[in-house]
Amino acid sequence: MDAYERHGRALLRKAERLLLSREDARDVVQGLFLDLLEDPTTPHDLPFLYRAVTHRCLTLLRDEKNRGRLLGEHDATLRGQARCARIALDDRVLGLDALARLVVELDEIEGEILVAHFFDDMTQEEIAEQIGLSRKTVGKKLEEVKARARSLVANGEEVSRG
Amino acid sequence: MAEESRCDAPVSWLALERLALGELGEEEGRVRKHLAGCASCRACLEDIEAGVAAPLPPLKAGAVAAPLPPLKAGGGPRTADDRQPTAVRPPPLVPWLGGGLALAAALLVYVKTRPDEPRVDRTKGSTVSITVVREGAQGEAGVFGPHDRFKALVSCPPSLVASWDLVVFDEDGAQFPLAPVPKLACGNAVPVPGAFRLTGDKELSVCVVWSEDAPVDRAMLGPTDLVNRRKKACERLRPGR
Repeated sequence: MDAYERHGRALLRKAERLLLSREDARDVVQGLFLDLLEDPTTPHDLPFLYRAVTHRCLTLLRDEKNRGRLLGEHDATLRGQARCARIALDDRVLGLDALARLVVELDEIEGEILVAHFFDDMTQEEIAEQIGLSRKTVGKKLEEVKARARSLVANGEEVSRG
Repeated sequence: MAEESRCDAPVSWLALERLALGELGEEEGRVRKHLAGCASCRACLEDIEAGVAAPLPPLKAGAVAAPLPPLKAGGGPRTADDRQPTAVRPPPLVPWLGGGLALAAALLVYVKTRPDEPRVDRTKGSTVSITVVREGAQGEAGVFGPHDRFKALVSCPPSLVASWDLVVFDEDGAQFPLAPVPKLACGNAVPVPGAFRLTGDKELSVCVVWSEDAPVDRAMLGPTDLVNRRKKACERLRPGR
């Protein structure tokens, strides 16, 4: 499949940044392309596939069983990737555990904004264009997401200094 | 002596991936301009480009661990190009394939958990190297000035699993400009997170030190005789005029 050959590595890198698990990243990407094989009318461009991987990773993290497994077995070597993906909040850095707890509280769009901003390093303008919201709405939702994250920190979730 | 930093307005990973694929279009000029002045983003692009030749796992039915529920459409207005990604169920597994996979998984678990399996990722010092690169402005290689900011790039075998620390040795001893790095995904020219400055009027060594067994112990890095026994890779830099 041409799209897999062309975009597979980029999508694997993204899923690994999010899940800190090579095996789960591989499963997410493989699952996506297997579905694409079933429905050839689905777009195959990288921005679309990037979003699809975000949704699938968040779905995995929302599932309690998968969440527990990922938190217990994550591959710490993936933390050292270039420009390490993380939720940098004020002077703190929240890890995979905080992300996992956050996504449970967020809806689809908020979760996507969280990933696009903190893990994909997109600007608010880029996120707005990708999701189809106004930049102002994205900014507002991003502030809400940050407020939830601060609330997690205030409630004693584990964080490390950035 | 040093400080840590991140790129203030980084190029998104998606843009870097599309740049590497040659499909960024008219945005390319802006991104290339940013990359020329941002070592952090440049290192990310190099990371992506280094993985272009990496083998891709074959696309096979049965690779998906668990079926995912269909996605709900998100709220908010949509543009014509905004196509909500769909999550169609993966094709059903061939019955015998499931049994075969289970057997393969069991064998894998056995192989991975053999108690007497020797570790094969022990690494000699010579297989790790460090390159110190200046952020932003051009300058003479091997020389530092008061306004220069540097990043350290480490090349190490992917099989090496270790904790890392960056140490600057001068005649006063060891200094640690960056936070310790618990894990680094080894490869070619992998950036150590953070950037730092170098000061002083004497030649110094910028080293990366690693430990495969336990976190790098900074207390052991001060005296030179102890340092020499540690696994490290260094680059010498001299002050500019």
